Amino acid sequence: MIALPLIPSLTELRRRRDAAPLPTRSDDGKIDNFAQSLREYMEPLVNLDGEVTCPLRDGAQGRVLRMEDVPLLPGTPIETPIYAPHSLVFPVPVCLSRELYIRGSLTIAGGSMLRAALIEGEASLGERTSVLRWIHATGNLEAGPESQLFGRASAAGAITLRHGCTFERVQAQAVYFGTQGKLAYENSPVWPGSSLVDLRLGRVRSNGDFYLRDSDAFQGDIVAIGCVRIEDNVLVIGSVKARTNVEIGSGTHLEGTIVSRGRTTIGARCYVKGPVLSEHEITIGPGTQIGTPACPTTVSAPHIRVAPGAVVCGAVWARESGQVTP
Amino acid sequence: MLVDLFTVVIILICVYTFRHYVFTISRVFGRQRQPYSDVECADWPKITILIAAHNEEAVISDCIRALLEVDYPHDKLKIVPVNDRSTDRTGEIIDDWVARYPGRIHPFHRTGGKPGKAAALRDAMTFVEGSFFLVFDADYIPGRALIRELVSPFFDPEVGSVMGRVVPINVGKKLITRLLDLERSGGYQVDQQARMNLGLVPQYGGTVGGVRVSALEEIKGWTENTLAEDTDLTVRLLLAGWKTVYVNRAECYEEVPERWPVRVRQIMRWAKGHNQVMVRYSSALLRSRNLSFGERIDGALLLGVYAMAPVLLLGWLIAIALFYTGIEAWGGLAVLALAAFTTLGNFAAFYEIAAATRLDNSRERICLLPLTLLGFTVSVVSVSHAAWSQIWDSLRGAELNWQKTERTRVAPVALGR
Repeated sequence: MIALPLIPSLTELRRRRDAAPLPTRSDDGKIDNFAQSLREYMEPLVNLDGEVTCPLRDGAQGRVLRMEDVPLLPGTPIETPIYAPHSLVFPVPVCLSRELYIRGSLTIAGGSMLRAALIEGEASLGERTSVLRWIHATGNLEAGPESQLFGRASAAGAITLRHGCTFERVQAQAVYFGTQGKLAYENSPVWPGSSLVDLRLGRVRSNGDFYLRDSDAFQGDIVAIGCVRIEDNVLVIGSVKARTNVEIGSGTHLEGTIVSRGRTTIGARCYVKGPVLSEHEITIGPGTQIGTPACPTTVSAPHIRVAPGAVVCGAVWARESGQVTP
Repeated sequence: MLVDLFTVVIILICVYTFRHYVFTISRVFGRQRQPYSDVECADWPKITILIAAHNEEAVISDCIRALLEVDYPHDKLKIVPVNDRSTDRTGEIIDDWVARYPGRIHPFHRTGGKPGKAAALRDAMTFVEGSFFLVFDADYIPGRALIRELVSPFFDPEVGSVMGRVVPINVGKKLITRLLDLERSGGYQVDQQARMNLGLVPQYGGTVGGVRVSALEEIKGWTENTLAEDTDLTVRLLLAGWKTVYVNRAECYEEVPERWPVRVRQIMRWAKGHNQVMVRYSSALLRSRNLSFGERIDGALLLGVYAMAPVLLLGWLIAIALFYTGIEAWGGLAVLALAAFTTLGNFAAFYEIAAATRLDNSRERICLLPLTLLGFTVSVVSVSHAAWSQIWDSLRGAELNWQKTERTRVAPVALGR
């Protein structure tokens, strides 16, 4: 009777059903891993000679789609994995509930729904297009107004998210919000050299708030138990950490990272080297640039609001909601 | 007097019980803080990786091979195996890897100096380039993304050290390895992450972790005469206004002891080291104005965790004494109270393990939970013995001796990655 509660333990000891080491992360976390997996998944379709359909490794019946086969009836559902050896234009809204692989460019009408797509070229999504899982373009990617990009959206070139777009994880050489503009800086305007963290600039630690006024200049890292407020046209060479909020005024250059446990607000026409990390929300003003093509960076928070005209070079990761404000 | 002492014991047990329950609830239901895990693109800084190796011929190759394959800019990564007075083929194996990968591996063959990992790391600091260094024990096998995951928190200028999660690789070998696997799960998946969630004091563990060079310089480097250089560092950094961050996703395989005597020696070393740090810094920790109230209390409780084993044993003895002396108002209640807290109350630690296995999506290994009582008993006795012998040694003025943990791997491991 006493040993009764030990029976499951002794059984597991004997049978060893769960005695392997816990799996640890073995991938490198790159955003285009999904794209590579899809190429491998679609290989049977790519290698088809003359046929239009063939079974894929999970049993799904994949299909080769040519321009002449594109549906013209709005809302037509396509429920098979699709491979297109050339560019495709969907002139009416479609609903693609399986993977799409195009060896060319993609233009898709507004109101469409894509599950997952790999485009070996340029991708242009009409307004109010929804991507459910991921999309990757080896060229540029443009999402029309009010589009919803769930999951991951990445491009080897640039991504443009028009006003009203919502997103989660976006990554490209340059992610333009609202309109595709010109980058203000191809390289860091103040410190194009090696990583600033390697320089050991020293740090200032404040047990309360920290405040920099208009047109101040500051060199060093800032750590504040309260909030950090930096006014307009300030130059900071160093990183900023606040246990509550960070507020950056307009026209400020910050050659370092911003980390906050509260909210981060970056004004208009700022430059921030990055990364920018917040545990609540990041708001980015119009005309602000974060990162450069020479030194891409990461912006991450549960909620991210970006005004039209801002640009981030690198990755933007909104864990709960990201939006291009109207 | 006995009753007062017993009351103190009960209160202490209740405090730790409450602490572990809070941690478990935070881990299972609370908001999880992993603020640095999304850093994908960045201007990655230069780092140095130190591999502490004393007679590690069985395992060092796996570690070096894995580090050569990590996804981190090669021109910003320097690998320094620290061959600390090895008498086996460790030095020869390292030199072989250097010959195959010139320019990427820079060995430090330490032939003299004070024994011990802390002293070896101190000497190895002259080889560190860049603003950060990571430390791995030679039996660790890092994954491709691990280095970036460990370096990401250092973009936060308040972070002085970083700790990842260790996962036993030799789980299935014996009962002891399975029990230690559960214990590690509870300790990292729940305890460390909960402290991260609650803004308390995650601990730098001395391996699968990193330190900011400027922070280390600010606190005057490693403390040599310590058995727990990791705990010592955590506390000194904290007192100087630097934080330690725990990164749950930064997982790395390690080898846990496969024999009970090895486990006993290991935990006795940890206990002595912890107790040393507790005696040195508890007062400063509790009085520090740089820390929040929660950090001060949790920091002190963290330092006292190994002292609780002898306190628990003392409590049992007192309970029995109270029972047989028939002291009123306690008496039999004393034994009952202590038994209850020791099982149900102190079961909080087992509750952490149970929560950890659920979070790890493990299935059948949770069935081994009752058997962790065996490990717990061994730990209580070993840690208590360590505490008493430490008190006795300090009265005699004896020096602390660092003992290496025995390795059992005989050939490089195939992970199938």
